[in-house]
Amino acid sequence: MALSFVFAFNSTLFFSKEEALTMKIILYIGMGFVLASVPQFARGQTMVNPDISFIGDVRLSIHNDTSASDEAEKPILEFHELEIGATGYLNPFARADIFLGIHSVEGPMEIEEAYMTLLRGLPLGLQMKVGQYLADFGKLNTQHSHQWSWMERPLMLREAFGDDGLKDVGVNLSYLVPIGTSAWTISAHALKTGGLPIHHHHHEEDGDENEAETVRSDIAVLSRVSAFVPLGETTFLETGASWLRGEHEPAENRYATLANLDFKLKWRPDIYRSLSFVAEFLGNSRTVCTEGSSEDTTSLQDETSDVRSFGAFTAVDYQFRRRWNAGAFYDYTQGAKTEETYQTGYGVFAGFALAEETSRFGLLVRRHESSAMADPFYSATLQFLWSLGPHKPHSF
Amino acid sequence: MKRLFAYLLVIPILSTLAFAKVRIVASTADLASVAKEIAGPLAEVDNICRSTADPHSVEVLPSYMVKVARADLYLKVGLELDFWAELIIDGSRNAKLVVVDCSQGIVPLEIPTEKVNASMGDIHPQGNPHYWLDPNNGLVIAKNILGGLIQVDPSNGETYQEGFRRFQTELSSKIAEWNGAAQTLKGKEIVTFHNSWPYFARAFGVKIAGFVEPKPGIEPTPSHTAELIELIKARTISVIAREPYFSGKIPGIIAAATGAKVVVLPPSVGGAAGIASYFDLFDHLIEALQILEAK
Repeated sequence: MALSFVFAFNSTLFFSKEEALTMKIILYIGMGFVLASVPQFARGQTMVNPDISFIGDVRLSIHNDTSASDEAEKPILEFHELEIGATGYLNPFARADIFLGIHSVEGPMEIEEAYMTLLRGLPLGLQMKVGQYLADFGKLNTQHSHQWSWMERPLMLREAFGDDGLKDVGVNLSYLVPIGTSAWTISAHALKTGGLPIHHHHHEEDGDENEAETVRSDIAVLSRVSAFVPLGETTFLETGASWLRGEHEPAENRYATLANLDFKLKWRPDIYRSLSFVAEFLGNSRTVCTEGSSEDTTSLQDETSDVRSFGAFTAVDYQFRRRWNAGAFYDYTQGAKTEETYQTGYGVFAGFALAEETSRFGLLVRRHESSAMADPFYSATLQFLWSLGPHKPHSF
Repeated sequence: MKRLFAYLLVIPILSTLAFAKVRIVASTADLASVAKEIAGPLAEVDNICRSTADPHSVEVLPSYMVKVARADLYLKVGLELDFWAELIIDGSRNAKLVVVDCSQGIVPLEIPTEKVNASMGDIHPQGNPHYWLDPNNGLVIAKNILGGLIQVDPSNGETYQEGFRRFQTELSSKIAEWNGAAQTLKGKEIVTFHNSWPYFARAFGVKIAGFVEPKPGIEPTPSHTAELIELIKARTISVIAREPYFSGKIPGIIAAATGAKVVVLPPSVGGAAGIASYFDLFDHLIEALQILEAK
């Protein structure tokens, strides 16, 4: 019945678009609470209900970027995101994980991830994931932004794949190779587009735009090899290399090749202290249509150029008490379509958990600079993060 | 030459099969210790949570998945203490793994009688999970492990039965010995950091008067610490017991304000020097608490 309400809200016959969205949000949250409260009334059903969780991310920020559309030096309070998660086993061999994100109170609601994992039973101990997910192109891409004290996805991932990183519909096979006490993982994906923003620049003036938009991009392929090595009882190192090839201009059959190297070192002697260092490097290689040729509408033959661009991100995060942490990061990327442009930033952050990790405050001060700006600017963000639902184990 | 190669290939395989040990991974060193007692040299036993680490907050590492990928048997504490074990087991991709929940057959203490929510702190809805700290529950744990061993290695079932009987006999004898030594502890009150000790307290007659944590899993607050100081003074409590993985700072402040003594009580095998087995654990705990008699 709830689903029929959802379908009704999707219709614009009864409600305006905004009303329908608001009602859908209320309905989804309501459904979550109903599901979460079912155990009180129907204990036998608890074994088949998924774990429902909500994560709210509210931010108060201020910046001095005079070129931005919102007025500089005035505080902005925004509901950055509400994430709704439902996770659970489908049967003894498989589980499903669904994460919906509502970005700001006006929406839109979108599927952040929704995938099934075949955990066991496949030949050679393979594991298979199917659905929409954050692909393991590096380590950071697989994580949600509320997991980071630096709050934002690294510039190199946003430049290459958009604000959500490499999130795509795909199939993934992964293989765990035990070597001594270390764990090597080999993973291969077939992805719908490889998360690459698709460009249809070609001859729009000739009325070919619609035709160009119907050109479907080829399946992209991604692979990653990673090694996790314990360096003692409390210190651990993980390093990985990823490679992606996908079409970024399907009408022209132009492919992009991206590579990523990731590195994470963590020391966690007890529950009161930890120090982690992460670094990732991204290389991008693609052939693009040069701007000069696209302006030349009389020419049938585009001029192209080869782009080799680079990005890097590094951060250090120190937990110095059970509920306190602080650190710093550096973020840099060249343009995905031209190495002539760049964006960079660096900053410091601190975090404090109110009682435990279910409610947390974060502070981020960041310097922004890019080739498109006349002057760099600064921003400060205060984050209020809360999570409702069952405790989840922490993964490395 | 071909025959030589065949021997070289076959002999190691046969010897591996002949002397293959059952591989057991346990969530904690306590379960691992009981498994070692029963299986003896027939098994290789490892544990996930370090003996000096908090079993409530284990970070899931890929190296743990590697351990479990090679295992035949996984021993869980259950009652949601080692909720992280599911992620490790799933990550191991081990389809042949037999998982034994060692809390099966335990009568849990402190099962909430009302709906649990996070305002109560880190409450376990199925009851307090520190059940291995009552040595009488050691026998239930051992029975569960015996069942798992017979399932994964039925050909050595009789040897495991023998190991179990040996463990049962020794445990009975040690329980009698511990009960004798703990006579002096009966009715004595202590304060503990976390609510890890209700099973131990029930087994040996110690009374838990309060906790350094205001609620399970919640860091000490100034107001709660002040109340606890008043309670300790009013009831002349002489011992504040702290698990080795919790900070000694607040217990130290309370001790300085009240004259009580802070005693580090390891709730797990390997939690302090000299605790190499499940039996050593209770020897150590009862010995450490003899300070109550001295006061």
